Amino acid sequence: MDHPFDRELGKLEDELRGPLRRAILPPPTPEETSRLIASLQGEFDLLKVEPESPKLDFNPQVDPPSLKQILRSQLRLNQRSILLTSSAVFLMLVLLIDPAYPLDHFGGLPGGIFPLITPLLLIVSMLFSSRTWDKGMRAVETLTPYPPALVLYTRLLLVTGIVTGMALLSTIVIGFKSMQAENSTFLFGPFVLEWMGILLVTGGAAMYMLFRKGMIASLVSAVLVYGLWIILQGQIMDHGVSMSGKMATDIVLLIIGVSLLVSSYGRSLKWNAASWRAST
Amino acid sequence: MIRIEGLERQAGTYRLEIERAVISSGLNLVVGANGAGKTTLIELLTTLQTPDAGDILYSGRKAADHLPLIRSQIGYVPADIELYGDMKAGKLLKYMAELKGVYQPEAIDKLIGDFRLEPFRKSKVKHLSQGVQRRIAVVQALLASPSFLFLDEPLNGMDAEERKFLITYLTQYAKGRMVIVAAHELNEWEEATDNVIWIHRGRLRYNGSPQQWKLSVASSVWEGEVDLSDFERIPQERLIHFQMTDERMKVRLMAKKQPGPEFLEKEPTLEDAFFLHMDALARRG
Repeated sequence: MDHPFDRELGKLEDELRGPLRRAILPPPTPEETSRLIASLQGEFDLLKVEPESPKLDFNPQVDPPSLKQILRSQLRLNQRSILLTSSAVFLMLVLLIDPAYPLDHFGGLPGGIFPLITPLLLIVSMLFSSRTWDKGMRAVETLTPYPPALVLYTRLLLVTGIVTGMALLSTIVIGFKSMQAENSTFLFGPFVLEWMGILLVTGGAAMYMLFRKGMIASLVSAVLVYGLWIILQGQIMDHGVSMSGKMATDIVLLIIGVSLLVSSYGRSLKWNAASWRAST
Repeated sequence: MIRIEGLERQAGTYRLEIERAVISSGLNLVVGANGAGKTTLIELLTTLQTPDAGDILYSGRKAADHLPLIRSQIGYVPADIELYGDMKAGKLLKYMAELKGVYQPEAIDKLIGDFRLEPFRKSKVKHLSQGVQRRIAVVQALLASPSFLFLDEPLNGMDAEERKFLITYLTQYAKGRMVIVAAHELNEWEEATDNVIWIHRGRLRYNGSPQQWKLSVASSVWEGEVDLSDFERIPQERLIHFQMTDERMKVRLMAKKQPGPEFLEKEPTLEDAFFLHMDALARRG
């Protein structure tokens, strides 16, 4: 029997079939489910994060950084090649220099051979020892708990120390030879000041630029300082500057050199994101 | 735990881009084809490379703000490392320890003992075998017992015994710490892996459990023996592994359906899963 309510219900169903079909979405396909899960992976990962997980601390196995300790570690690194090379160069200088006139100009260039060669040796040694050529070793040596530039600074400081030490030793030998020579004009103070002034200002300029503008700028500035010094020596020679005037110039150079080295140390301790980017 | 957010880095011809990821403690295996971005990711995580954009957080600390602190907790074994050949093994490790701020000789002695390096302590590194040099490279990374240890192809140059020892050692070490290994030989790490990180063309395609990684493959792995004439008909891109046995060929291949009655379905290994995922990507274009 056909009840009027059933007819009405049937009619209503017929009317709603269209709108309901549009409202009911088909079930998602497996691919759609996979895509949804993949897109939510990041959110799932975040759920893994424990909100109260402790912050990372400095490794308790590691001693806090200090210049003394890094210098000691760098001494362990094989410095033999630099020591041997500089020994050979300074032995050659000791043999070449006339003990009677050690400050005489060499090969038409202003300045004695000793202050001409010493800064060059320093530049070459710095280049040689600043970083290892092997990428892998460079990587593991970079991953230290110290500010990245501090390790480089100690390495260069050590090289400067070796070259300065060798130069001082050679100066003493030359001094002894001069004492034995007849009519010797050797004056220990001016001789040491002459080479040490240019040596430290060259090394200081190189390090100063290294921590600000990088390795290439460092080398360029060292060579530039060295070139300017040769010009300055020429001017001093042309104008017949007195010994005391020349010593004053060398003392100024020495002070500038030491100031640059100290300033570079301060810079190497400073840490910021920019220096990290520059070091990678 | 390491959290990656919006990481971007140009590396050669491709760009490594990871929008968001979390890497938890345990042994994480980074997989991907050559040039996919594995080494770039590892170098970013070790702080050796800086991101072009985005951040990496090490237990809540940003490298840009806490670099020395984070580096005190990082150990790294690069894929290619030429140790200082003229140094003696013991002296080299002492040098590396001091460079890392580790001054207790017991820490070095313990590792030298664990990695059976005692007989080589006084030998120059250049006179040692590749496997021993590789062990020294691993030891230098472990010197400070870092919380984050990264190894790029650590098994290179090692013999079977050394490989087994290192995997066992790292499995133990990874408990409560994070070890991230980039590798090509995946099956060797099958039992040790807690998490798989799949990089493809600079994108993070998967970061999750190895079980899920193997289950989510679109094809199946089949193994069987076929005649040489039948073997030649198998498309090269379907093959995973094959080995000659008498006059027949033992074949392991991937296919959606059983390729023939002589083939039995096998549970995919990590390496199978890698091939299957790569195949699925290639099919999708």
